[in-house]
Amino acid sequence: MPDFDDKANRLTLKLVYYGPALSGKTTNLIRLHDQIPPSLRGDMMTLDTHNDRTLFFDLLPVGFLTDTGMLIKLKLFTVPGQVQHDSTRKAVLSRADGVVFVADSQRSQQTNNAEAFENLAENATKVGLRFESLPLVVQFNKRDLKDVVSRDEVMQRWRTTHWPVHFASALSGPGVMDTFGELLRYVYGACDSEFHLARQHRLSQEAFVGSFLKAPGTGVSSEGRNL
Amino acid sequence: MTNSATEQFARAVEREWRLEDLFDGMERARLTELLARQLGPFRLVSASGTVVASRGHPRGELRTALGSVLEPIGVIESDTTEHAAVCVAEHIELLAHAAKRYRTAADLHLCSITASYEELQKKHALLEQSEAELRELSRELEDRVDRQVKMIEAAHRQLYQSEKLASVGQLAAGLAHEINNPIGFVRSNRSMAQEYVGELQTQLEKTAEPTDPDGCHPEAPECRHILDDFSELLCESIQGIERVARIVRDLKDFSGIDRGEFDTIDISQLIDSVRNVISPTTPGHVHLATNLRPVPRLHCRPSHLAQALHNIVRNAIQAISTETGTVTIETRTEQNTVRIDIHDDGCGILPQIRGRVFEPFFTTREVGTGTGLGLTVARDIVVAHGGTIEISSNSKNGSTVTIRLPIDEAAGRE
Repeated sequence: MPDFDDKANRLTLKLVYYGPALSGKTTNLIRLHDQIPPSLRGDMMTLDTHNDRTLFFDLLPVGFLTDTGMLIKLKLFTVPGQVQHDSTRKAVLSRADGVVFVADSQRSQQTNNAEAFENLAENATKVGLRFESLPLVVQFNKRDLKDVVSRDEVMQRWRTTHWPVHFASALSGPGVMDTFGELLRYVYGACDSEFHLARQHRLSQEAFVGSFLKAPGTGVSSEGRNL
Repeated sequence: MTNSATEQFARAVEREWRLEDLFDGMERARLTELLARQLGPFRLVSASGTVVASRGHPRGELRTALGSVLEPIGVIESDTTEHAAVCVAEHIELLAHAAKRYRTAADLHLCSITASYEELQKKHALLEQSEAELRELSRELEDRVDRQVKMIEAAHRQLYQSEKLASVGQLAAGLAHEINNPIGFVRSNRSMAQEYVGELQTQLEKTAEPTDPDGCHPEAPECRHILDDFSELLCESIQGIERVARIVRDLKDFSGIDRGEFDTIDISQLIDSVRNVISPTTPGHVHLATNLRPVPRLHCRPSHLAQALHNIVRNAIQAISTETGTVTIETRTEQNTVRIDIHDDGCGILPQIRGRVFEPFFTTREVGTGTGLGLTVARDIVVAHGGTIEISSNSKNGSTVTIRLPIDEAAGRE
């Protein structure tokens, strides 16, 4: 549910990286943190255990100002992938405006992927999201590893669904921004119909998606502290 | 997890922390001290406009932003150098980030524990429910086993009894057949003999006339006397034969070769035949009496009912041990039932065993003289007919067994 604050002229969106344990959700966020210009992002908050397993979630706030001065703020969350943290997963997924499902491409992980995807569908329904119409992008991560399911095989399997599929190696970077961009395109569609982004705020889909991909004119970070 | 718990959890995930919520009193005091040392007079104002810490009255010439447009934290107002102010601002940002991280984790931890606890309680409730269901099931199973055991016991008794009845029946049938034949020719011979005696009397009177001037043969009175006696003997014999025939008939009725068949009968006749079968073996000091009022005809298995009545009457007779006594069988209509009372003025039943008399294999008689099944079978038969059986007893007046059999409307009209 997009949260539009009229007084502050701010639109806040919640985007969630979902997927099985150790599929690289946090790595996706770290890569985005690295690739998005500092002027467009805040500090990343991680809540993990000593062995880097996400305990509650990771949060990376990113955003930009539109030409009309509206602040578009995206809160990127990851969920904990481990099975036992289901209540946290539900809480993070609640009110999500878009989801990236990060699957592990390794052959041995196919069952985990399927179970996590089922869990996503189930939890989405439980927290009151309409799963079929929820902006969702599927990312097959860890393409750099050996013994991964081939692209053809993946595409074959997902062809019958309406969700876009992307391939990535979050550890080194390829595919992470593409996935994010695809989700933004998807989310823009949903927001535009509700908030008339193009008509009222002169924000096109290209500008919305492109603002994170290349350094924009208007930053939102703490440069120029003196007021 | 309930919806409200999920909602609370989700709110904790999304919470936007304000600077004033991040530090408690002690932390604020230390922060104030530190900032005063660095900045001199200052004011730390959060993004929402709350003064979080201050010392003295800064002129407010230097306003330094904390956080970003994306995530504004607040403003420091001071009179120090720009460099010092930015340096302090970055330190506060770091502190705020750490505090935010800690407080978020603490909140989420609480939510997560609450969620797990709720989950556990739900599971616990489910377990308790399934435990209760299992208990209920086990009770049901026990009941079912009990019922089946009782059914098997009843079937056993009936099998035992029917085998006994079958052999008695066969014996009776054979006996009846064997006895009926000789009775037949004895009966026809006797009536021939009666005729011959009559003829002899006529002949005797005829032959007496010419030989006796007085109209009487000298030996004729003697002969006539013998012949009269002979006629009487023959008459008595017919009573004996009729009695034998009746016993055979009763025996046949009682044992019921056609056992198990339903029939609509007059219960009084059945009681009569039971009485007739028992009479010969009844000890002299026991008087068997009946008081049979007319009752509607009953649709029943006559041989089974006969067996039940026989068992009860025999029991009643045995209750009268030494002194003279009476066993009375009474019938009458009571509401929609035919009531049969079998009363004896014998020794009665001891109160402590009264409850057990219908129990299978319970007997007070010496080993080998009774099976302990008589009353049990009687009860089974009565119950199978949809009736009830009760026993009342005291040591003064003896015992009464009361049987009530439902009157079948259809049978009554026949």
